[in-house]
Amino acid sequence: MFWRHNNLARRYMFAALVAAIVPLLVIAFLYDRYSVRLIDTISRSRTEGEVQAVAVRMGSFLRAQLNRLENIADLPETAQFLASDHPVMSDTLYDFLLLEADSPDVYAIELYSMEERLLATVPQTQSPPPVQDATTPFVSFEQADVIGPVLPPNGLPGWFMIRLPVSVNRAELGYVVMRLRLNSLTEKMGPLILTGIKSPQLVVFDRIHLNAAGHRVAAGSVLHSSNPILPGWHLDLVALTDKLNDRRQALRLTLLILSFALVLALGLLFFQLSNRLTGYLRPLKEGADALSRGDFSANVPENGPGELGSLARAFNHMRRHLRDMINSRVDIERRAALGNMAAGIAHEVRNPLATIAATVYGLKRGETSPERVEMYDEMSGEIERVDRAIEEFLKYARPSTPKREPVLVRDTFRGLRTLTSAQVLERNITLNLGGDSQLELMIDPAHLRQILLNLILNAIQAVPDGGLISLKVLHLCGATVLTVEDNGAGMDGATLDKVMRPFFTTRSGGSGLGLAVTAELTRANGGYIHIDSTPGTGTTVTLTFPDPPREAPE
Amino acid sequence: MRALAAILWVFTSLTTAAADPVKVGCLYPLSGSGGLYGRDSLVAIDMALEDIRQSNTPIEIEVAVRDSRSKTLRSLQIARNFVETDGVDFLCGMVSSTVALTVSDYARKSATFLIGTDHASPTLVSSQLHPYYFRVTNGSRLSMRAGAMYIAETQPKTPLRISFVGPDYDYGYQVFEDLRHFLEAEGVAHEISSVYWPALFASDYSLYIQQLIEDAPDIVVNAHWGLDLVTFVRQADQLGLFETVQFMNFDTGGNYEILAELGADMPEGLVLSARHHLNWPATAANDAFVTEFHARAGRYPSYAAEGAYSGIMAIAEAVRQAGGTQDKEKLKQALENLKLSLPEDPDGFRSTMDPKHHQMLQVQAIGRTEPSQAFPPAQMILGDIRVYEPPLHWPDRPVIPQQN
Repeated sequence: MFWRHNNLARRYMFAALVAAIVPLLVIAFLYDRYSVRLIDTISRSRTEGEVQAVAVRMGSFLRAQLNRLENIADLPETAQFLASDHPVMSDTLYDFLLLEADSPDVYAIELYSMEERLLATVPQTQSPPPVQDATTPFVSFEQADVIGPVLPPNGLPGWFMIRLPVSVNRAELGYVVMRLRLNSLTEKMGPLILTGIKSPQLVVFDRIHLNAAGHRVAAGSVLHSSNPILPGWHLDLVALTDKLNDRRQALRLTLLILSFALVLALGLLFFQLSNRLTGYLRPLKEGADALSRGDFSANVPENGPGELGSLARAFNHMRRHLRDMINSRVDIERRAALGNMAAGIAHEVRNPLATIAATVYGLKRGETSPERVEMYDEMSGEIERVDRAIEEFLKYARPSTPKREPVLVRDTFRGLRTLTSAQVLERNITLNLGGDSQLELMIDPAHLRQILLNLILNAIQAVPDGGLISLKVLHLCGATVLTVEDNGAGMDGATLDKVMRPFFTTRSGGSGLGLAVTAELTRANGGYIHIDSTPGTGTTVTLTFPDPPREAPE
Repeated sequence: MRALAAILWVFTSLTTAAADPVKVGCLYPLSGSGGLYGRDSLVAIDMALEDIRQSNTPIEIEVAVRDSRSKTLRSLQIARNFVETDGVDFLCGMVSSTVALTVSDYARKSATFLIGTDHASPTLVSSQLHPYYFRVTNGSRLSMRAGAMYIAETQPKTPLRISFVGPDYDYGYQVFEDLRHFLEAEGVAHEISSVYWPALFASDYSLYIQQLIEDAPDIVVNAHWGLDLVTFVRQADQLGLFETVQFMNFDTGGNYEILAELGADMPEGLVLSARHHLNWPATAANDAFVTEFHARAGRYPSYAAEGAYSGIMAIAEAVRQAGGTQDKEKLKQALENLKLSLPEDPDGFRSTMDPKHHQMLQVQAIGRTEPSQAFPPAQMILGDIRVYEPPLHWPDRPVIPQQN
């Protein structure tokens, strides 16, 4: 129903809208589905790799410290020191230990008896470690033991120890211990930090959780775990909040909202375009409907864009052309009919009228009764009036072919003033003549006189006593323009529309052919007539005679 | 390696021909991250010897300076060589407290006087003190005492949330413990939000700076020095720490070396102090010291210069009072009762040795960084300075057991 009841523009727009939106929705759906999965896969894979890499680096760090410890244990001086009942450290051993301890990763190197009694600390200025309690983590690391981590309660940095037994000929003499900076290990987790989103933790026996700054922290939601660094030691990457997921969901939601907003915007855009297109096409349809009803006056707006504007202009051109063609055809047919009728009237009415007039004249001459003489005069008067009406009609229906010659308009104006002076004087009317006194017009002089006389007589009828009538002739824009202007009663629009039609009159006794004859004579002499009138103000009749085309000089 | 050590032998002129020259062996880093400290010390030692030579009672002093590179074993070997081969009467110098602790232990064993100049850990004058160790520059304990007084005066908020970040070695631990002790002593209502221990000579502090930003304390008290502090300030500025937190460093931050190295990168409004300032005290002696140093070196002195100058002047004064170097007991007494007028002393004050702890008691001045072109290339200098005189006796207190 929707499809059938909508115009082509709407259907076209709807089809285009569907063509645009469906792929958009499909792409949005596919993007949402697969990109989320892809991001998850990539980020998980990458993060897992990074976590494992950091764990390997931490293991390598511990291995390097163990190597240094093994070097110390392999020194004969170390064995001699531990084997002695009264150990005194040689300068060689002291310097070697001092060199090994001269690292930001090492707090101290300590030598212990088999009974775990501290025998020496290097640097000597380092205070002995506190006794570990039973909860201190203790794990084996190859031949060594890793003790700790220990986190002092007073804010001082944490540490842990690697302890390696020293033996000669399989007889264990004591231990060499390296007390290490815990942060040297935890700092290696720094690259895994995503501030506020995820944080790495060094986890020892699932009860000690340390962040990269070496602080004890609470366990969190584990995203990834590394392989063990030591037995019981591993790395966890924990989500601090669900911010990462929140952000991703927010991004998804934003994209979806944007997609729907785009769909909505496209819909609105297409609806607007459709309305605009319909707005341009509707007047064309209405114009065509009007045309089919015979109304040639419906003008279609020509302000449409591109082809629509061209179409409207072409339509208007066609309408005007069609109107002129039909008017011309009707006029031709009307004239033909009028011509025939005029010939018939001339033959069938005027001839009997002439006979009747001659008979009446004869009867009147022989009549003695004054009453009958009066009646014969009445009859003669009516016969003359009918004859004049027929004369007017004949002038309209079969105007004489104009014999155009140069006419000095001023002379015609003056002649007409003289001709109408009696009526003008009688009613105290002012008749002004103006304009270019030298203007000549190529026109049939009898026709010009008839045209202007009709208009002046109409004006005299229209103006009140003491009124004003102006005749003016000017040459404007390649045409001679004559105007007859009065300050009479004027006409309303309805009257103005009909005033040029034959037999239309507002005066009793008028033939209704004066203006029709005037227009016809004007047209026959190559001009056209235009009437402006305002009720209560007056009427202006403008006659425009374009200059004849100049002949090319020989 | 020893051949590479920079050696400076300087002889004063002799006005009395009888006594043997006093031999002094100094250990300073002349290369590496702390190299400027040693190079400034060389210039200042030269200035001290010149001043001694020009004094009414000149003394012949030979000073050898070798490059410790802030390495413990290397420093110990240099000290042994000074004592056992060169037969020096005094060891002096050392920037790092870790190095100083080891060398001080050797000084104790070899019964050789050690005049500490730049290192600042209280451990050397408390738990590890011995009769032959004397320090002629303010230690970190007096810096932190002044710092706690500064906080009490300027920070009205209660409770004040304070974070601490310092180098992970003895100096840092002592600074932290002293800060807590003196905040309590000054009655500052506070809580320690967090404590961080980056490694000494670390090159990246961003991990700890991010933690500090997350902790959002009111104050960060920092105990880094030298290039560590320069790096920390640069990174903290880039990460935005100073936008929300008041940064304070009461022992070394105002050192001219830091101000010069950071130049235009030094933020305004940091609360800093140092053992010596170029613009304070505004005395003729300090002005003459700074001007003379600049004339000789073409640059302005770090506090290490004034420390080295003080060390040589202290040795000269002690030898003068003891009548030579033969009687170590007299030398010890002279050092224990030492009073010196040094460039860093304001008018009416003399640096005075605490006889019990062998620690020179000096005035501490704390200020805020503000723009100044007075001492280029530094673009900031300390202004709005508050001055804290030392107590009559060095404030000893029970040493909190180290756990590493």
